[in-house]
Amino acid sequence: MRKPRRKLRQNAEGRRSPSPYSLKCSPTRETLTYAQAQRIVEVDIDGRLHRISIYDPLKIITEDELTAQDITECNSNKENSEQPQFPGKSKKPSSKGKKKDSSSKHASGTSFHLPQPSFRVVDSGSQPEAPPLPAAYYRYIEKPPEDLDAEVEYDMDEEDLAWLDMVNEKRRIDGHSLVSADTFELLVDRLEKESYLESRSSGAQQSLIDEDAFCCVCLDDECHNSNVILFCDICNLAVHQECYGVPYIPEGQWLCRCCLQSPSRPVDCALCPNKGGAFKQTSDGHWAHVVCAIWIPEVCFANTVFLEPIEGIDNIPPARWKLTCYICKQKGLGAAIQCHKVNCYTAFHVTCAQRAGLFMKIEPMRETSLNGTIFTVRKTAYCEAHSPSGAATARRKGDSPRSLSETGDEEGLKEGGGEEEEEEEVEEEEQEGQGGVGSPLKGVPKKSKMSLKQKIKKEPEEAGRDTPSTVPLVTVPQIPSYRLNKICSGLSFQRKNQFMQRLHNYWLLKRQARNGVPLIRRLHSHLQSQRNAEQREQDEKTSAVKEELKYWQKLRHDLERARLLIELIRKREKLKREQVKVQQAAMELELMPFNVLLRTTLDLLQEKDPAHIFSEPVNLSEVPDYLEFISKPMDFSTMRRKLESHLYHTLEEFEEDFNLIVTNCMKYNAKDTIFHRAAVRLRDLGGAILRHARRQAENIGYDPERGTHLPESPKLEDFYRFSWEDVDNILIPENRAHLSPEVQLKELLEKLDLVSAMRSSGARTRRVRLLRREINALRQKLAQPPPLQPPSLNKTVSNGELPAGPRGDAAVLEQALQEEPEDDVDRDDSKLPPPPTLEPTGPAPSLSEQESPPDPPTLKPINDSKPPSRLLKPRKVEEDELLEKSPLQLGSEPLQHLLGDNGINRLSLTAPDTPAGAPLSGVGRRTSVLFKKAKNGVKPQRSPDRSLENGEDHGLAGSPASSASIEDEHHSRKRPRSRSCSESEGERSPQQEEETGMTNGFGKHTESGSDSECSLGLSGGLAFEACSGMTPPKRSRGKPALSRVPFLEGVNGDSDYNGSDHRSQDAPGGPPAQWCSHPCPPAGRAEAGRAETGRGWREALPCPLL
Amino acid sequence: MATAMYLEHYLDSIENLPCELQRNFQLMRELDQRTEDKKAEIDILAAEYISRVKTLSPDQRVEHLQKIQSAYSKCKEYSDDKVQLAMQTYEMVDKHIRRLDADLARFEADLKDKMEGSDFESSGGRGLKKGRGQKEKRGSRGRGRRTSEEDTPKKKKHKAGSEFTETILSVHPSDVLDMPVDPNEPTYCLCHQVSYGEMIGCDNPDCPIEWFHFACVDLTTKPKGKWFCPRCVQEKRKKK
Repeated sequence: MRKPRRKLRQNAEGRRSPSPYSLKCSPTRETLTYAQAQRIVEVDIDGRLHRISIYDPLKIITEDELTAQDITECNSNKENSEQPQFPGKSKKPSSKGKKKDSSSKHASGTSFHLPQPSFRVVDSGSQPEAPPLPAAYYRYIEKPPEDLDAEVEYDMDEEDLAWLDMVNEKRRIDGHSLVSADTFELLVDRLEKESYLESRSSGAQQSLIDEDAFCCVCLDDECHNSNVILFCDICNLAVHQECYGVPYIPEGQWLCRCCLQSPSRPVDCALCPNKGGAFKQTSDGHWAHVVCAIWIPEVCFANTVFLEPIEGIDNIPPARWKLTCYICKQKGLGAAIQCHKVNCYTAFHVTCAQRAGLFMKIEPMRETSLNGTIFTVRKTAYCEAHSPSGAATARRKGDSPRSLSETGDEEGLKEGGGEEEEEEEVEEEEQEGQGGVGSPLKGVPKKSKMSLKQKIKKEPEEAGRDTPSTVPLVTVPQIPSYRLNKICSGLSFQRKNQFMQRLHNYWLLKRQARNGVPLIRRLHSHLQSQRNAEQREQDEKTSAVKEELKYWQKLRHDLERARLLIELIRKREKLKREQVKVQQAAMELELMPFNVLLRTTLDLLQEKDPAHIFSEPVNLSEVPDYLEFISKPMDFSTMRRKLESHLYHTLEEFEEDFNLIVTNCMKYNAKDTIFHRAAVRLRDLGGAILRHARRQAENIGYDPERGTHLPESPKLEDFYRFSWEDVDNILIPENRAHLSPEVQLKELLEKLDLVSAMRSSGARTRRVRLLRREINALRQKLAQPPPLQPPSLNKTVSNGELPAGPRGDAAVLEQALQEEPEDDVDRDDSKLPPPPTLEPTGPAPSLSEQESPPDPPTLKPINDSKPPSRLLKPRKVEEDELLEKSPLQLGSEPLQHLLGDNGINRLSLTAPDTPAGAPLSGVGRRTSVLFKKAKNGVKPQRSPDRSLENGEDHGLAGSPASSASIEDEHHSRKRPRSRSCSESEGERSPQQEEETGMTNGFGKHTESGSDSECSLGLSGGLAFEACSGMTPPKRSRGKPALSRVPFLEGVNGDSDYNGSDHRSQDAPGGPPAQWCSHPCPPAGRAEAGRAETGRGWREALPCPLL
Repeated sequence: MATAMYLEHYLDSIENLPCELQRNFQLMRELDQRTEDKKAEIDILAAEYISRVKTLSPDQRVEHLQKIQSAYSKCKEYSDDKVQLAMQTYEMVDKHIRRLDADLARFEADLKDKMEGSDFESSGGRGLKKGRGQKEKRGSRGRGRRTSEEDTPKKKKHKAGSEFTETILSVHPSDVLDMPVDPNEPTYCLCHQVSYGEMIGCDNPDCPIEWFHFACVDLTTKPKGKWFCPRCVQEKRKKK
């Protein structure tokens, strides 16, 4: 089966390389005789020889039988695949058959020759029809105009054939080759298209279609499916099918009778003088308007369906011919009708009336009149005068807006007014007539009633018709010769140019015969639809623009989204950054929680040092002697450094350094310097902070070794669980009697912290007060027993300070200096309240008495005046000594009273005092009185001061309480004090401040302003000092003296203003003198101090004030 | 289209945007990776520290901790870089958007001109109607976009503290909700809504929210001087 094919292939192979096979082939070939060879086909496949008798039947392999195996076989064979094996499955069967034939033929005849070239004839015609596909596979694609332009669309008609035959006949005679019909079609097609392009470029005026055209017979623009308005393809006449008698719309072009039958000659209506409009032929070969035929009663249509021809013109009575149209004023030209009004004989031509817009009604009677041969309709026409106003004109009113100027003459001719609208119609006609026809006769201004809606296209035609030439000038665009050459350039036949010329002429004639309508239908319709196309183009353009816009908007939207995404990314990254920071903090907390605690504590502590006194190490260049007194300087920055280098392992170490700061400061600076006071304040405030920190540390649990958390958090003492009972319990002394005072104090302080951490409420404030009182009491108690030593020491020291100063008692000074800090330290550490309050007054007076003997007399008056001044200002001014005692009593009593009234702190003070308080204060007062007097003289006395101070303490303690009697004084005092205290009023109330003031003993006088004068002066001075830049304290000696003087003076003034006017009265120049005395002792002391140490100075300086 | 030459130019200019975005994102990714590496390193260091802290001298501790600290500061540096990069990228896209908006506005104006011109030519009422309808449509669309685009300059200007924005913004206060809401759109303000209307930026550079609706913070006009959001005000007070 496959052999033939193989054989063929083999042949091909052999042709390529015959030599290898020749060896094998030769033996077998030799054996064949000629006769054998004639009948046998030899096939050499893969070196084997096959012989096939030509008589053997060979099967033909069909496409179906060609299995996949075969295909692969073929493909696997390289040599085979080189050849165009598969020109196409479908072609195989046929080609095979041919191959077989040819090969067998060859084989039989030329067995001795070299392999023959093989070939196959692919018979394209034998392709099997593809089975029809489902309709879904077929799609009609309209060819684009460009493609259509390339195609030959023109089909010859008989006329063309005849013409071509004639031409060919002539050519044959001339001995030229014939021109085929195809060529003809091609050329005509090209001509058409050329002309189409030409016309399109020369303007599309032909293509205008008047949408609101109306039938020129009935003047109606209604258009029904059954009665459409037709347009003549030449004159563009618009008529209703029915009005013009066109029952069926013809295929292709439609021409009005006039254009169809008399295209070259304009027709005249036999019945009226007007031109234009819908004409029909009369039976005698004339023309007449359809309207005229309708309206003139004697005339009728022979065929009422086709409305032609017009008959009965002969029947028109001569009278009608003689009527004079009142519109056109013409007589004898056509037949006129008359107004239907009875007794009105006004005559007018039908078309004239139509143009004039007279009332002309063709009643539906027309239908009823279809019975006979005569188209009888009931027609009513009125002259202007009798027209029912508006009835007929309404319809056409809006149709023709134009100026009235030209209608003037016509209007003048009319009888009545009131039909301007109709006139306008006339006028339009006139325009057209003049433009198109060119020469309307004078006196025949009215034109055919039918041409109301002439189109521009019509004009040339009409012009053509008007011209004498018999050939109507249709708008066939001339094709320039070079274009013609181009058109036929692709063709080659003899006498081309001549033929082209002829063809062109023929084509022109043909076009003209068709009135310029293109010969190719597509182009024809194109012309019609050109405007639509333009519209569509516009639409396309806008839609394209829309698309573009949409695209950009999409892009914009995408960008917006991208922006949003990036915004999100930005936020994410910010969060990540925050996360890193938080992580770092957490890690820090994990790795060194203790340090963190210390750091926050340190921060808190430093916050309590708003003036940054302690934040940096003491500048040694400023205070070169600092190290002489301070062995271990300390400040916050150093602490921080230590903290950061993990040198603190326990809170105690930390606290120690903090205390070092305070004590250093207190040690180096005199009590009355702001530094000292700042240190004290810091100590007090810091104490609370440290206590808090300690509590926290205990609660959290740190491993001191590692500075990290303990593996397990310690059992929390429920510090924060707390009830008022606890507090109340602890407030009762008995309940805590078993504890040592220190522990008690600690307990109380804790409770105080706790309570003050509570939300503010009445219960809270009460307890806070109570606690404070207790604490104060406890402090006092604590201060008392050991006291006997330190307080007394203090006293002596402080007492000694002043006296010693003047006396140059360096030793005492020194002692004082040393002791005081110690005292401070003690107090710091143990939170022991120092001795101050009233107890010290006991010993104090004695001291003062010892030391102040010389002074008392002089002091007395002042002192006298003072207590009263505190209580009752007016009194104290006048009654000095008189009141000496009573005021004291008074003073102490009210004080007591006040204290009692105010409870709490006052109580805390007074309670222990009361037994000794009154007398003591009395003593104090008295001595102070004495002292004051002495003050006037030379020096201030320490002891009275102190004793006074006790009194003052009372006073002070009481002063916050609103005692009417004290208030004035209180105010006067409060100002400086509050000023001095203002800094320290952080957590602590003024009362507390007072307490500390008291606990600090002398050191505190300055702060709490215990002595009226001194405290006033000092506190005022301090405040002043603070205001004036805090220079003095750390200054080395000498300088303070200078600065002190004015300062003191200022203070002096201050104190004066503060209300101690009595002094100035008592001893004129007293205050100055009194204060002037300070510079002296300080000077003296300064000398002494210098002789001794620098310290005495600093300490001593303020002392005189005290 | 000849009129769209600038749009063509715009296309050219935006061609690089994807590449640049990719590059920036790649960079951010790298930075992120590095940050993560650092974090892992920190974890190791921390574990080491905890295990050895007992035996370490203070100096050693400090040294060790410093290592961790420096790693953290590196992390922060990377984070800062990333934020910078993100902001830069944002600016880039924003710039493109603004340019596109400008070009589109121009394009629309051109179109409108053309439309009007062609409307004059074509006497057909239909064409006129169509043209008008289209114009309207486009107009409304344009407005919607414009407001959204004004979001950004407004923000920026507000931040810059210029008063000028108010005049611009007050022009289209009503039609701000034209843009469809992207579900992934970032939210702002205390109310956690997307940005709309007049927004005010908190002057605290670390403000977590950054932008607030006027109404949500009881503003009707832009306050003079610096403005801080309620949260930041609270924070500030606390710090004080």
